[in-house]
Amino acid sequence: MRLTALLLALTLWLPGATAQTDYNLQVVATGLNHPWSITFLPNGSYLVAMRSGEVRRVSREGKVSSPLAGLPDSYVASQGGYFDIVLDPEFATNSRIYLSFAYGTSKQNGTRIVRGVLRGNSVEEVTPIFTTSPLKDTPVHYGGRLQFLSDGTLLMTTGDGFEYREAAQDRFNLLGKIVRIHSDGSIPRDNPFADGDQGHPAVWSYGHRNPQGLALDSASGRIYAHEHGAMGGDELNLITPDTNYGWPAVTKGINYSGAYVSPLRSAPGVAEPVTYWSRSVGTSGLTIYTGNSFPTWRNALFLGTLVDEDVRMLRLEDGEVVDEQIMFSEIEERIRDVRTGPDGLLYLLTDSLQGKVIRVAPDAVAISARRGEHSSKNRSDEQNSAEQG
Amino acid sequence: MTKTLTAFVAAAILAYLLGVVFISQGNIASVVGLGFDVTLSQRLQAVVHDATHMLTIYLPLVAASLLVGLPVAYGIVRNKPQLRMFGYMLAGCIALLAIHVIMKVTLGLSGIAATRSISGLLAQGIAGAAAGFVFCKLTQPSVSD
Repeated sequence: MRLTALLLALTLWLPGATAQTDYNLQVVATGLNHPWSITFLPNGSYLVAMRSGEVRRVSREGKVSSPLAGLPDSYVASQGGYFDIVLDPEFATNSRIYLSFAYGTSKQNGTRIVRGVLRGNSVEEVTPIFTTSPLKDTPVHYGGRLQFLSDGTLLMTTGDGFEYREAAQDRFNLLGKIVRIHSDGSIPRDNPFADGDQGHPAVWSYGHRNPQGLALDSASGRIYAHEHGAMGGDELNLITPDTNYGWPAVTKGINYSGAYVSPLRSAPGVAEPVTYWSRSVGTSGLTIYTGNSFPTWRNALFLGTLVDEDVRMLRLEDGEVVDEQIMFSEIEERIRDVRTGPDGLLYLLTDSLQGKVIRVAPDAVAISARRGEHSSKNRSDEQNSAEQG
Repeated sequence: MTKTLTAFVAAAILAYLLGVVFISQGNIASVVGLGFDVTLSQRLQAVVHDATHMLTIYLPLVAASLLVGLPVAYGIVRNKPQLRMFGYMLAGCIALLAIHVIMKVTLGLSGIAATRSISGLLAQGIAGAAAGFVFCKLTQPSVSD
């Protein structure tokens, strides 16, 4: 893979003015084979997990490492490969990372989480901590997003495997669910079905199709997830435990053949989405922006779209979407992941054989120009006052 | 020629409509099986919805499959009048089954969700057989022929 230390040379300076905020898009690294997720190391570099079944370290300047050694093989086919990568909340002291990926074979595959210790360019003490069951024979709809909660437990989304949609309503299996585990893979005692009588102990919520966006609003404790619907049924949901999100019995989407999945668009006991897209946009990646670089974006939800090739900024009030802005469509690429960096900037991954890490930074030129304009206006006002005086 | 063309159009439309009804009710059966109630009016509305929304995808597939299957049947049974009805019905059945088998083999996934089960798949075969029946009846040689 070509290293891209030419950050400045490659920096794509595209001043924009979306949502009344000036920004520029900096291509940090390119040539990444279907990057799926990005996480941020304390030293300022990034780990990028790719569907091609490898994780690479990317420096802030854009230098791309060779693949990290020590990670397991993945079942790389269709939608399968490496998915999400996150750091342990205590990473500073234990150097642990967690990776979700497609595990198994064409006949028996599922979503697995491993954890290991990051040392240099390798991962050691790699241990599987969780694998979905039952295994399936389709290379699609894995879910795979990870999110640590403030209590140290870990959520993971799982997909319905496409052919097994009804399984999403079966609380005893792990297809089409959001599961919650401890960081060692054990099951928290306060999970809704922890005793196993009414469902699998790992199940946190159910009735999902293929959720590939998961984020925690650390201020409110709210958990948001979005999922790929069938045609016209992409949803953003507020996730609460022991909640049925409907798929496939209740959905706003229809089959790609044109037929109903179900004639039910709502039903008692089924949570309504916060919002949905009546024309599928292909939601992927989700972050709640909490940085300081873009004050007007604070607390907004950002999610990428694979079909529309843009980013959506959603503003929520009292649990309802009050504004949706289309952003960064000038990139003209499928957006796989959207994250807020610890530097307060927004990071995007584009989905292709030549996938990119793109950093969204305040547009310094525009800002200084605006300040200059402001200063000259002030000077002009002062001059006018002096003349009038 | 006009008679054959009319018979083919009638057969294709019948296969499509019957196929859609089976798909629609198959999907609803799956929802009901999950413990949700679906009213009669929702069932009827689903059929109307599906029949209008699958027109551009499923009707061409049905027509194309019958366009292959029925002429093949004609070639086989034209000198065997005693097998005429059976041949056309079998051809229609295989034609519609072939749509779903080919989709499953090439995509690795079921293009039509209701055909994931054997009963759902066979229901499409019945729709094809019904099309063969109608085609056979409408192209029945008259006494003067």
